[in-house]
Amino acid sequence: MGSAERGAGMTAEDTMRRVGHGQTPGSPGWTLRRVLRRPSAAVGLLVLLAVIACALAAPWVAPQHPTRGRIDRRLQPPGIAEAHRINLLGTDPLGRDVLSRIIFGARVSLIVGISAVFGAGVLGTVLGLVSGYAGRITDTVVMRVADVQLAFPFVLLALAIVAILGPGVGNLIIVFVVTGWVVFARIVRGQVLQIREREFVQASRGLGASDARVVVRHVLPNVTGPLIVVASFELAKVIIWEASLSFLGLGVPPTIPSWGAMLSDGRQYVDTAWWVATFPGVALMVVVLSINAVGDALRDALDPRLQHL
Amino acid sequence: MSAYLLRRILQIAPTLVLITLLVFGLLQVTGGDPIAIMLGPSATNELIEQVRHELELDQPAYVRYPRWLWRVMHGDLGKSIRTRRPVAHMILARVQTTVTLAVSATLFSVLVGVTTGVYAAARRGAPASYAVGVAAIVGASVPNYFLALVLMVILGVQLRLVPIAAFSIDVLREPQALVNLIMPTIALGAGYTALLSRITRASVLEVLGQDYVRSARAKGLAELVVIGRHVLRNALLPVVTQVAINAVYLLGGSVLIETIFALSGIGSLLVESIIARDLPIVQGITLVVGLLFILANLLTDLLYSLLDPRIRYA
Repeated sequence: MGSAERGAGMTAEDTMRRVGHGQTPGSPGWTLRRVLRRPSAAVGLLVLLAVIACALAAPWVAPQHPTRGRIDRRLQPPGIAEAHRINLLGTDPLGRDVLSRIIFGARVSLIVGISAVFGAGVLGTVLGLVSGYAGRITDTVVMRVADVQLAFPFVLLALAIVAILGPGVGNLIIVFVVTGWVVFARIVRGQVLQIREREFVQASRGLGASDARVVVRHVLPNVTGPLIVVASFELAKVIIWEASLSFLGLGVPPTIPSWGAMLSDGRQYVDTAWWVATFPGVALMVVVLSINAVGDALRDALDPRLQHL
Repeated sequence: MSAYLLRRILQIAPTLVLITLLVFGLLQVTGGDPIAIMLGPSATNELIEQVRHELELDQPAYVRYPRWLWRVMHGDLGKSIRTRRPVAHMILARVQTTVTLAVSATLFSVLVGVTTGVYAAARRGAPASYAVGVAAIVGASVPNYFLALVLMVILGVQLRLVPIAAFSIDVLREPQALVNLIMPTIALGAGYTALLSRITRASVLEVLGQDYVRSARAKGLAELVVIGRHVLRNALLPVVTQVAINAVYLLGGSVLIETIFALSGIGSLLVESIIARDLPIVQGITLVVGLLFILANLLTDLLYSLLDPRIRYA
């Protein structure tokens, strides 16, 4: 829903009244209400906000230091053993508190996830705009590369890039930007091709609007909805794959607590200390499920055409 | 048909070229001296020079690319830096494990995914149908290696039904190894099963609304016959045609599954090689799987156009 389309089917008065009450379809307030109307999405959003808050306030929220452990208290089961030292979710093989590590681990997941999706979104949007506007050779080249990338297993491409760059937080973000821009570019390009032939764009062209003005005033407002929807699903995907690469030892360095690496640490202890691997896995699952629930609701609210995603 | 086939094959050419460039480029763009990084700090200068010469890195890229391509076309993928053995042999030695996993996971997914999907569509609104929907959403959100760990704890540790790691899955030579396949199959196939279940459900629901289904019911056919003969035939088209492509997708997932169950397949070889910076193997696997993927894509399109002639003219 874009500014130019909003008026369709209602009088100017209607529109004014709705704007006054923040009820314009597509406006942030309207979208939020639509999303919250669905119980699963409301719960998901609540969970995500809590996780973000914990990640931001990790040093204050976490009961113990995430990397300093007490080796005499290694592999303690979840619960309260001593009143002054509580390990609610148990301790890992180095005596570090699992709960504290999960809270700090959320930081890695969110930082990598959000920056990678943001980077891929920006890169994809720019390439999609350029491709849709410039047409001809630029369009062919960009879309050809996009096709090839889609015709190539994501894991393989990601691993190949890791093989070149080596592990690390920054490199992980690069991996996900390089592998993630295609979806964004396709959506934006499609929208550009569609919109530039519409009357209201022709009209503003006729009034002397520049390409930049058309993009900012007409194209971008029309793609924000779909872009937000795609971004939410991409975020879930990136968070899963960050954990996967860290699990394989190809992601975040072992000095930084991350869910994937914690799962990997706990792998050898599944028969004696199930909690080491289970809780980070549950955290990962809950966050991904929450993002998907919110994404589903956003999709239905903002862009019913994207049903197949 | 032949015109369509020709067009489709021509479309592959640029993809092929780009993939070979990507794989060839793996050795070129590594920061610093790739040889020194690969061989580690203990390597002598002579060794570094020897490997550099062996990989022909002492010559410009435009000379090496065609030569490399020529060798690859003749099945020569180079030699591993770690083991000094031909990369092609090392990959071949591991193929069976990975293919076994991919095949069994595909079978599992199709069986479970399609059955539950059809059930959920036919009994829309029933509690069991709702449960299938929830399971499909959860199944799509669980990382496969976490599911593997949960299975290990439940089936391996608590119930002691199966060994938890480093077991043989050579089912062709030892049929009793079939039970060992249970955990890797479920873990690897869960995501795809969930996807298939959702696709099948949507597809069946769409066909159920068609006029010819109403006609079939109106002429008094039993519900089972209506679903089996009239609905499934049309609804499963997208499912059937996607099998090949998804089997190759499963190769990606098996990177994690092989690592967690300590199975020696292509996926675990890839991870080991990346960690050891044995780039010729990484190149070889990327190339082979990339080609398999293109092939599966082509196969899928051809199968589809064969089963549904409308596609050819689209």
